[in-house]
Amino acid sequence: MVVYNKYLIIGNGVAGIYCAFNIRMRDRKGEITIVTDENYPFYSRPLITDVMTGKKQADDIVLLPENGYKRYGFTLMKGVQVKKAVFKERCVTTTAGKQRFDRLVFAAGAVPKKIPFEGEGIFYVRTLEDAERIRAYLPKVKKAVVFGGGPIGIKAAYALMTAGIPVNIIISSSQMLSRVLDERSSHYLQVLFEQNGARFWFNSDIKEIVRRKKGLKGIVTDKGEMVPGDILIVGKGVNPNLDIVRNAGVRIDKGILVDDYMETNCEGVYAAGDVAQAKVVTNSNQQSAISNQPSAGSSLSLQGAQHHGGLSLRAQRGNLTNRIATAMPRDDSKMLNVEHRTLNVELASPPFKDVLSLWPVGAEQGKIAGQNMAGGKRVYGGGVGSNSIEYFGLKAISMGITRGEGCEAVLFERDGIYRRYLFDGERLVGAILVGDINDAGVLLHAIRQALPVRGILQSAISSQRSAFPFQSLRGAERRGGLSLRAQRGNLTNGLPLPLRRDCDDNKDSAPRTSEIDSPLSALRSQLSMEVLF
Amino acid sequence: MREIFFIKDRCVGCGACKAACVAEHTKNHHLYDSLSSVPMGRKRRTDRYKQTITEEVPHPVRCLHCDEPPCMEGCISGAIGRADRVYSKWDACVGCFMCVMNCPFGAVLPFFNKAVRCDQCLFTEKPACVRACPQNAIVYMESNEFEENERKRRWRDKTQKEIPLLKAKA
Repeated sequence: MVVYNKYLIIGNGVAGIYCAFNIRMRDRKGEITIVTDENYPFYSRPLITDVMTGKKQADDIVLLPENGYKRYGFTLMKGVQVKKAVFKERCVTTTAGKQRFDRLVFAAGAVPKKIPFEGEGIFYVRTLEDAERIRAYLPKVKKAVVFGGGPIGIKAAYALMTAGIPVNIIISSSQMLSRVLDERSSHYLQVLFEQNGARFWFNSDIKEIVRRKKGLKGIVTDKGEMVPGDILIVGKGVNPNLDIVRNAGVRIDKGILVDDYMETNCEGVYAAGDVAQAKVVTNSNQQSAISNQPSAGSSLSLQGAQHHGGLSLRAQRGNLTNRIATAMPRDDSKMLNVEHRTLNVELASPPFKDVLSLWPVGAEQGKIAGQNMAGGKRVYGGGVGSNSIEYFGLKAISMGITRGEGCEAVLFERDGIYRRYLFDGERLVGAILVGDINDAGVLLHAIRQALPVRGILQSAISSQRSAFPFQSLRGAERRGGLSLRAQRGNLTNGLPLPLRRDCDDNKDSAPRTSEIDSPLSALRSQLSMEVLF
Repeated sequence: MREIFFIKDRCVGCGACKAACVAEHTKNHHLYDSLSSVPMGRKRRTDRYKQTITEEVPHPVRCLHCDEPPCMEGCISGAIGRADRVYSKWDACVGCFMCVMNCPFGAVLPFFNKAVRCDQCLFTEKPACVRACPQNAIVYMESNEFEENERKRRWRDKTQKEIPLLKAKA
């Protein structure tokens, strides 16, 4: 009798599903069981705000219907909660009985941060059931209060505003989207929101909830101001869902600590998604590390570069095609440092790990975990915190470090386009793009690979040629900067960007400051285009 | 799988490829209609070409159809899929621009409320830009074939005349 591998996936989110598909691609016959406590098949979590307002039905955002699970041979256990997990015994106790496994991935996602108030009219936005509950409640609502100025809270507020419900937003920091955007760009969005009927209470927290006989009347902030509203939607952010695994024998810090292969300290147990504390390329910890030790900045960034494969093995061996070799910096001191970095990876790794609750990060982690569970050996390159938002037709993307004090910022602002690049030495560590998001992916790739692109970006901005400096890079591609391999999309070594060393001579390249007096006039050109179409 | 390749030396910058791309992605494949139609719903009027600033000629930014597309991993609405080629469904796109953020080549372009990419003109024998190019600067062939042709062409150029040194090598 042939015995096939048993894979158990806890969590039916994006990480779990990507994991299941990648196992299936390598292992055609293994048994894959997916356990979830929700009553829906795999759906798109970012889109639940559309279900909340009735713009979409619950079936519309289901990405993998149940017959899809059958087709790929996944067993879906809906509405089943995991009670106890002891990973060393290879057994998980659920409400539907015991489950044995050979390999397990823990991708149980996150739970919303709670507030110390309960009762009718207070809702969290995390699952599709939450959204359905809010939708049933909305006909009674004339005015809504949203608590939390992060991506979740603002997205819920935007959905309510598009549904015609005026929204009051309580934010505990001094600006909206404080983790995502900087002051100026968040001001752009704030003006847009205020024009469309939102009101903001900054630096405030909930002190008291005032009720009438049925439902809410309003919320009293800690400054004593009364915020009227019939419903309170809390979007304060999320915490990893770690209750099950506290005593299961895995190492936990902020989330479950995983190594480069997404494996925990228990063999055969992997973690991915919102629960996993995995390698990150740039994060707030690193940001503080840079600002605290300016002298060690260069070595730190080099460690980071090694960490996510900034220089590939091929490049380290000097086995480059001559075309790329002329483009890459051939600095002997740096080549020496490569050796040094390899030794320091273990030491440098703990501060470089963090929990990122983002869709693309979850998908990539799930992919890597799945391939490694099915016998592969793939290294996770490290995540970059990045967000893409679009409100009232204004597109914005932020990536990497957005509020670095130790880093140098270069601004570009013209015609409703705002771009802010943050550099640590030669390499790009963060960017905020508002209004025009062309080539955002190229910038993200530059951050991820720690490419020294400062010269290219700064010369393009200072010569006021365009806001899209990477289009000139495509010129370089045509001149033969990129090999045919890269043209074919064989991305194993990343995109070798050709460097222009002569750009460093432009010492007078002052950052371009604002010509625009108010953000309103800056937005006008952008918005008039949106209205036209 | 055949792919679109671009040979810069042959390009004269006439822009025929751009016009052809616009027309191809209009509802009834007519350039005049593409100018008059409003890009909403099913009517599409968009080109998948970017104009470079430094070089005067338009340069095709085409999707490379990666094996593991980062845009697909980022897509929150299930609009992007991969079957031989990477495709995106127009109606399913919600305009979150996660794909724009994730594509390391900048090949996905943000349109007003949708993200568009080169789809290699899925339902035609040859892509429209390839058909339109009078200079044969855009070619559609297997990558091995292109590589061999290119090597031959470069060798021919090298042996026939002396090529000038690359400038701007400071």
